Amino acid sequence: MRNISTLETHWTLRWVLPALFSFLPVVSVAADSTATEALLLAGTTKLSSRNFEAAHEIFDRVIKETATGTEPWAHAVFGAAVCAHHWSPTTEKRNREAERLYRLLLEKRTDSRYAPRSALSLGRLAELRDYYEDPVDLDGARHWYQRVIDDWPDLPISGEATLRLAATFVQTYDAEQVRHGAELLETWLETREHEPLAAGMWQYLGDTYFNPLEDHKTSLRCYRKAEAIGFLDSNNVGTLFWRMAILAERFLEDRDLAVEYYGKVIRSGAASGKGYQAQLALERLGAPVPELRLFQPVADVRPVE
Amino acid sequence: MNRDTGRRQSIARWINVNTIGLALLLATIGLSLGRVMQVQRELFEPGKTVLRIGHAALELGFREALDDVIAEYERLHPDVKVLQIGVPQKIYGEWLNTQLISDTAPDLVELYLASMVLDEHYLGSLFESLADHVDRPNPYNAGTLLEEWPWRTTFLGGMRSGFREGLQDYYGAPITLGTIRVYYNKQLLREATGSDAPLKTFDQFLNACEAIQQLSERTGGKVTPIAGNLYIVGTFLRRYRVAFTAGYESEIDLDLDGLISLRESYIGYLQGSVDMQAPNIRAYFECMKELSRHFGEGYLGLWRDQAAFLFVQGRAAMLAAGSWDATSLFAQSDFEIGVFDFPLPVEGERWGQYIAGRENEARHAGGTVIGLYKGSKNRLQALDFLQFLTSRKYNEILTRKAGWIPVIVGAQPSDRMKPFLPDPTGYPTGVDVRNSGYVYEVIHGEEWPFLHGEIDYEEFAGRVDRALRDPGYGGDRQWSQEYDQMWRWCRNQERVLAAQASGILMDSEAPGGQKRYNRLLLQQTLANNGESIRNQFEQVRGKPIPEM
Repeated sequence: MRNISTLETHWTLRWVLPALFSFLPVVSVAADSTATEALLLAGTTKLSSRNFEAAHEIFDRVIKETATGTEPWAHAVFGAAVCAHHWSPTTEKRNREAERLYRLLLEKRTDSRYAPRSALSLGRLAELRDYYEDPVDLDGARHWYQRVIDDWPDLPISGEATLRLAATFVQTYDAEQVRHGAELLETWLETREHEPLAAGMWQYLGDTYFNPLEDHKTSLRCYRKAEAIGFLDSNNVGTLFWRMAILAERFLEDRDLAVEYYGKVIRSGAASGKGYQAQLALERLGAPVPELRLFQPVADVRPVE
Repeated sequence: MNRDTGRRQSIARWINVNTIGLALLLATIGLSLGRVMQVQRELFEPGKTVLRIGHAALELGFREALDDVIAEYERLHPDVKVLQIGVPQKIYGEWLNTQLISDTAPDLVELYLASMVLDEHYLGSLFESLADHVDRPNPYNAGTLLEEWPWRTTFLGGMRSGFREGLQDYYGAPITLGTIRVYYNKQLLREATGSDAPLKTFDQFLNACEAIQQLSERTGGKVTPIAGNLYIVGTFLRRYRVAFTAGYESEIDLDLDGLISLRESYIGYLQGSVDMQAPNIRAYFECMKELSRHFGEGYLGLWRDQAAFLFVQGRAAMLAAGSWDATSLFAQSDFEIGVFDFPLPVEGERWGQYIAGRENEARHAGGTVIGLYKGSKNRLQALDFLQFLTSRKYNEILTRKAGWIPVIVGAQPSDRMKPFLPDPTGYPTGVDVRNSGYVYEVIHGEEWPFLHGEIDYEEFAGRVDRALRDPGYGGDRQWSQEYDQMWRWCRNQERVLAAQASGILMDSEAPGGQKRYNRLLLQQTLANNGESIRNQFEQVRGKPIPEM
């Protein structure tokens, strides 16, 4: 039987144990890092399901437990800012906290992937009325949207910021400002063929030229551009096709274009409830009238796309 | 004292109130334990995955049909047991809210009546998004023409009733289509009019009502022509309102979306094109007054069950009801039933010149929408069962047995249900100026005295006009409310967008998240924070929109 001295002198104990102990701080840091990751994951999950209150608590804890400027810190600061911003009911105090955190992130980690969204969120804070008597600050919002466009021109979020910037002008419903907003978008689209929001931007332009600018020709041109790219929201195309058909028939007196879009209402947008009236319109225009096949319980019908 | 007497005395000593009470108590405990164990076995059957589906479809035939389809599913999946929980409609909303709050909701539930499923913000956090599944084929359609079709495209008219605009996502799948038609007692109609053919025009409809009334008076049978009831009278009014007023669309649909909104109706009212003296509006109300004479006495005190009871007992000749009631009505009536659509005045008939056409059913998107509860411990299995229910083969079996209309392309309805198929012919909307609050209450409240002949049309029109023009609570306030709701909606959508954007940044968003985000972003941007509503008010009314 080995005695204790034998054990003490065994090579594994003499060399391996000190080596293991020397790694303990690393193991501890790794454990901390795993715990932080687990907390961030939990916070993110809560945030994604819009449980802002619970997520805020978690992110707040991570902020306190991590070093300023690290990646987990940036993640937690952004998460906490979003939670404070959207925790319902919104209050002035929580909005101020959100603003402070977004600004903190921009100050300490401009290179973080959360920085552009923080800047954009500061714009949203300024633009939207968050609670009773919260002033709308369109100029403040424009400043932040412009900053996103200027500082991160190659990221997709710059397109979103451009759309937001244009919308701050359009929503004034002042003709000159609305035109300026429309120009901003058109200029952006001229040089960016692959803009992910292009179809949405063209649709927004179509709406803007329709109302308040009442430029029906340009409105239809914009809608057609959106259609050519593929409408972002294919669920309501029937309503859009109907508007395009009426614009073509009533305002542009373009029979062929009207026929094209009434046909599309019947074939792709009958769920809008306008199929029957589109048939009547085609009859009136002396064009062939497609059959209305919505709800036909036969297997050879192709589904509504 | 012999032994028998001693035994009797001994037994008698034990038979007293206390021992009976104790015996009853023990029996009750035993029964309760047995019941608890039985429920335990049903709910937590060892070795089996137990799925629960909660719904409010207690119409005759549906539960039996669902049981049959469940049996088919269990045969294919011997390790799964499916339990259905049918809850009466009157308490369904409260029941579901309670289940959701206490985290005990069934795996699959009908998204109906409960505030926590109607409010998109609760819905999004309590129910699974089906976005990852709707673009993939339904495996139970294998071997059919739908084999490669994305699941959402296999639904007649799309899967729109499962789609939530405000969340830009799918949260449920419908299992049927539903329409409303007029059921009639063929025998009574034949006795009264000499024919039992479906009624096609409004004159035929009114004449039949008169004839039934006369028959009733002759025979002393107390038969009401139409079993009016509070549940259905709104449908009658809407169907005829659309028919009489859809023609105004070209004049008052300002945003050219093809629909007449409440705001557009109000603007049309202020500009005089659709006020209470407009010929079609007046004709509509007169027509409804004429029709409501045949709804029976005290019909506003009846609900759908009582009206159906009158019909199946032969005490009402006609009943407007949903396709979902077909099995109940056919099974419980000992007379032949016919079905027709709401008859409209045609050319040459009184009011014929005012009719644009029928209200269409193109926007019907499917009913009994089933959602997948996020708290379910068997989410994948529950989704599998939902796909089973909405496969071509099993949706046909389910709906044919239930006497409902199938919702899947290619699933064939029974012959009896063919008259109920949604008809996309006609118009989607008509003029309506009542939103909520004061204007709604006044119009709704004054409609009945007018329809019942207690006040004349001028009096009724005057009261409606005063309500709409009321400076504090009238149409302007409705407009202001709409503006208020719209900017609040835009603010609330910001929460959805923020959660989505954060998820994308933090890599926790499901595939397709960016596309969904872009759609939500566009939808919110198009609303312009409600400012178009404010701007239109200022243009039309020439003054700032009232503060809420």
